[in-house]
Amino acid sequence: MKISRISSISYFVVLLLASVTLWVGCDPNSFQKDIEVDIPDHSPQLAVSSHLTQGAASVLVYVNSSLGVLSSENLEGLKDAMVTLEINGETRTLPYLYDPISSFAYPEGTYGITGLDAEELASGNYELKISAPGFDAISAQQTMSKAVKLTNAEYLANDSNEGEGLMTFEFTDPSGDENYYAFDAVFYTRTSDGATYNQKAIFDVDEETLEGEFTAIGPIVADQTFDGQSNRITFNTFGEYAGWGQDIEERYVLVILRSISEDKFRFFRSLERYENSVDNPFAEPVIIHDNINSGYGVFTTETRDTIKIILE
Amino acid sequence: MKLLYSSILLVFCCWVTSPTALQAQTQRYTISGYVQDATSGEKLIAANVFDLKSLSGNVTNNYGFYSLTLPQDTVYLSVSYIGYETVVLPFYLQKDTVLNIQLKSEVELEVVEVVAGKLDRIEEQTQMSQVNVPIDQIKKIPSLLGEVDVLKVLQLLPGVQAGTEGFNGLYVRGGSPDQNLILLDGVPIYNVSHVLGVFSVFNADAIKTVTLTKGGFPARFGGRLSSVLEINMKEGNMQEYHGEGSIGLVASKLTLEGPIVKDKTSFLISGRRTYIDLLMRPFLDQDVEGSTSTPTLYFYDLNAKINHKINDKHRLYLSGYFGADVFKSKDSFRDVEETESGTTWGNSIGAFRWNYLINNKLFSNTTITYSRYNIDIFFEETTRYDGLESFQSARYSSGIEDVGVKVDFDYIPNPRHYIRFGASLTNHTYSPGAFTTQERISGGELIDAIIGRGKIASNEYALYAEDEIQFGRLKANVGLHNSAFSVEGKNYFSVQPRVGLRYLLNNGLAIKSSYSQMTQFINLLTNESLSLPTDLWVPSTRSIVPQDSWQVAGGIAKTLWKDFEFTLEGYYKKMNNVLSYKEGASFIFNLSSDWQDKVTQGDGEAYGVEFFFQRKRGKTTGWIGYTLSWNNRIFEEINSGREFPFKYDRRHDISLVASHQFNKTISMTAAWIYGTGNSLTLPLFRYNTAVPNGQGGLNITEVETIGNKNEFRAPAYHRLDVSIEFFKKKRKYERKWVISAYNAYNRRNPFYIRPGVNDNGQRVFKQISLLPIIPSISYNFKF
Repeated sequence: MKISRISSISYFVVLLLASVTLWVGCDPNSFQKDIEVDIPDHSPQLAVSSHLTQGAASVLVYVNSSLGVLSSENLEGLKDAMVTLEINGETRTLPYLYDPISSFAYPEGTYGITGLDAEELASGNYELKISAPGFDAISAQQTMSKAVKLTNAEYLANDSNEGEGLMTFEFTDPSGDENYYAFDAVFYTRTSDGATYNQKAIFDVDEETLEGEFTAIGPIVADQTFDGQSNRITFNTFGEYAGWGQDIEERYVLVILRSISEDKFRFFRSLERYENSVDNPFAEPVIIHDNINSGYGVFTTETRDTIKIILE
Repeated sequence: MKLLYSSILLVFCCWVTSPTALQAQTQRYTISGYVQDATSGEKLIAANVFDLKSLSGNVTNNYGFYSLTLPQDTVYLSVSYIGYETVVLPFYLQKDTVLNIQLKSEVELEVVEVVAGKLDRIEEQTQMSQVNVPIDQIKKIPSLLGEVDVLKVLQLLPGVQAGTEGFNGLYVRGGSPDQNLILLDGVPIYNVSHVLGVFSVFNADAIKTVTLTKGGFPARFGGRLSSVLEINMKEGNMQEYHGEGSIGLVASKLTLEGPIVKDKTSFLISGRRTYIDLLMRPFLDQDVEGSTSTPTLYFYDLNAKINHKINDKHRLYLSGYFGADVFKSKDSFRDVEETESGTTWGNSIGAFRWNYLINNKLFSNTTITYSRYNIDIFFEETTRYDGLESFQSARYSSGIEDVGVKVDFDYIPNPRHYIRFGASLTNHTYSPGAFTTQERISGGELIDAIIGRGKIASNEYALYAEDEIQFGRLKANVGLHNSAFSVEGKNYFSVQPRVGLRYLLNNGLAIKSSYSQMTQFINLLTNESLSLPTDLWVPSTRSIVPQDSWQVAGGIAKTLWKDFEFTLEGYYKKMNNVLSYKEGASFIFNLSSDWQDKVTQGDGEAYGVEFFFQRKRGKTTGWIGYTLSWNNRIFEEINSGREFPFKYDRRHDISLVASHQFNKTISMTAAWIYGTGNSLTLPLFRYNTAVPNGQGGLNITEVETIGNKNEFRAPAYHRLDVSIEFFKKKRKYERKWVISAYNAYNRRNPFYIRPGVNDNGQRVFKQISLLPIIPSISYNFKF
């Protein structure tokens, strides 16, 4: 009697659990649901991006406003901002540059000045100020990065693998200061019909050579391990194929050593890490570096030194 | 300096021998021997051997050995062990005496209430922050898919947190899983998970004892910051053949043990295999228009042990564990193309142990250990065209291999001192990951290429000494653990003092405190959320310095109403040079990069209070555990250098576990767990950023920006697991049906949370849950 009662209990329990499993398994919402997370309301603020290069012909400032992560609105550039750039105490207003016809170059929300003389963006201090109706004014300060000369540059094409080669940068790091560098190169081909083709060099990873990271502006590195030293750094590069198949008049490569501000180093490092992590659920979250007072975004500087190497 | 050492040595010798000097007028003799199970001959670890007249006593060591030196007099030797009948042996002690004692288990006696021995009591032990969970209790706790899981039971203890739901990570007092020294029969085991962490590698049928130490580490342990988990396998029945096993929904297991030579040599062998692939094969195998596909997915474990008694002084043990997960698939298309791809990973460990009873006060144990963990991810493709065969393959492999030797001594000069000292040397060989590719095109030559870093070797040395001392109501365990590590020409040294104190008040309440320093020379590169087989064990190097920590703890402990134990402990732990992936880094899609570029080192701190109320004996057993804790990290390269909560910073953690034996045939167990939600990093806002495009214009990228790392909280985690056991003793065997339900009220606990879009097109946070209610049934037998 007792045994049969236990058997019926077990039978009932198994039946109940099986039914529940079936019910849960058939419910498509079992594994996913919308939830409320107690995050603070976001009040939109101005967000800016500007990267100054000493001696460049233009200054570009991109302005938009932030949106809460749950906002369904689209991000758009701001047209009605007031953007000023103070260069060593002299203030210049940057007009709105957006032109629907050339929107490829200057997206909506771009302000700036083009056609500058090489001396206009010189060494010294810069302050960027932006205001727009409905937003708190924002500002950011930068000092133009110190120039670091390329003492020598070499390019050795790889005869057995077309388009590949070894590119060498030689420079002396100023001692004492914290310096940051980006390495860059562009291959140019001028054809007999006067056209010029260019191709940005792609740098290959060589971890033994450089304790740095590869970003959108090339490999970047801080001088912690070589402060004050003379350096000779060689990379494998790809890209020596600009204008192939044309009647070539001249081929050369511009080897560029960028001395970048700490903010530029941190921003491009974080942006690279962010972009690499976006579709990877296992990656650690990334905070995009910013240096804007009362807003978001980044304001950076760099000074370049270039050596032109004529290619055979 | 020489004078200082001589003075220390002199003081130490006087100290250790002082009882003899003080009582020189009374001749003292030593009673020594082993305490073992009367039926199986299995040695009983930490059994209580106590003289009721002199009120002096000791406990057996890991091999069941005890030694008790007493004055010449009548002795009332009480020997007790949880779940066994207490034996009291009166005799007149007038010479050194060897006394091997056999205890009968309560199951055999059919007596439920067995009185705890004096030294079993928690207030008598100097060691704090340590929990022993009887294996019978572990087996009763409801488990996922009916697979008894030691690690998941440990997750229910205060101070121990589970990481991700359903997975095996142990986060002990704010530490990470790699900071746990997990020893199977004294051998470190590196990957304790099957099926990405859903099941542990420990087969409960082959296990004798499980002890977790969370703090107050004695000097004999070293090499990890946060915990020591000692799992000892059964030795095998010396008297008769026995077996037990189970048939479950996903796996079956069988354990056999018995004498090879009665009372001399015994064996134990235990195996487990999942058979989802065998059951699903008819559904998974496909043969469509010449295309065939054969998937294989299973894991297995094999534990084996041989125990040989040479004579009363010498004993040998040989034990091993072999386990692996195999996920692979073989596909073919007519005779033209064949591919095979998959992943296999597993551990192999072995230990050869020699117990030598040098004299009745000095016991030695020499162990040679081997431990290996490796993972292999591979892809092979063979194609045939016009009589020519082409072949290409890619293989990623990584792992760690240890070979070690260890000598430990137990010296018990008198009841006031229990001295342990020893040394160890371990050679680690790491394979941090290498890709091998092979290619043969149209019958040509085979071309090989290897990418990635080669093997790295290191040596780890340790030397320790500790003394468990008693001065009346005060007991102390004082020790020193010294370790050294050499890797790639770099040497690291570490001196780690350890102190544990206990003071017994008149009302039987013990006040305990401890201080311990720990150093860890090897690191696990792992994702915070999941334990993956691709997680890499890597050494400290020139640029990655060893992790170290110090921990201070204090608390009270008392036995209440004979069977209930109560502890309340507070702790503070500081961890230095802990490792984390840099922001954005992951090894999942970047296996060939140098791991050192992906990690950064920082500091951590954890502090909290733990409450534990446990009943180990009786019709109703179980515990109530509560932890209130804080757990933070700070890294220069993470969260802009600001301090942030660790992912598993859990303010409140509660576990209620209760088992009740209704009668001889039915018992029921329930476990309820509640924890504050894990800390979360969520994007707060988004904006566009512009970068120069190299052509004089700008490229726009939308970025989502997080606030502080781990700034938010997921919803609270809670779940109820229940199981009912129907037990029956047949004439030749016992059988047990276990019906259980994991997550009985189907709580949808968060696995992870991400922004998404709902059915109305609005952006919302979506919670992904993993494990709904999962019922299971298993059939267990024992003969």
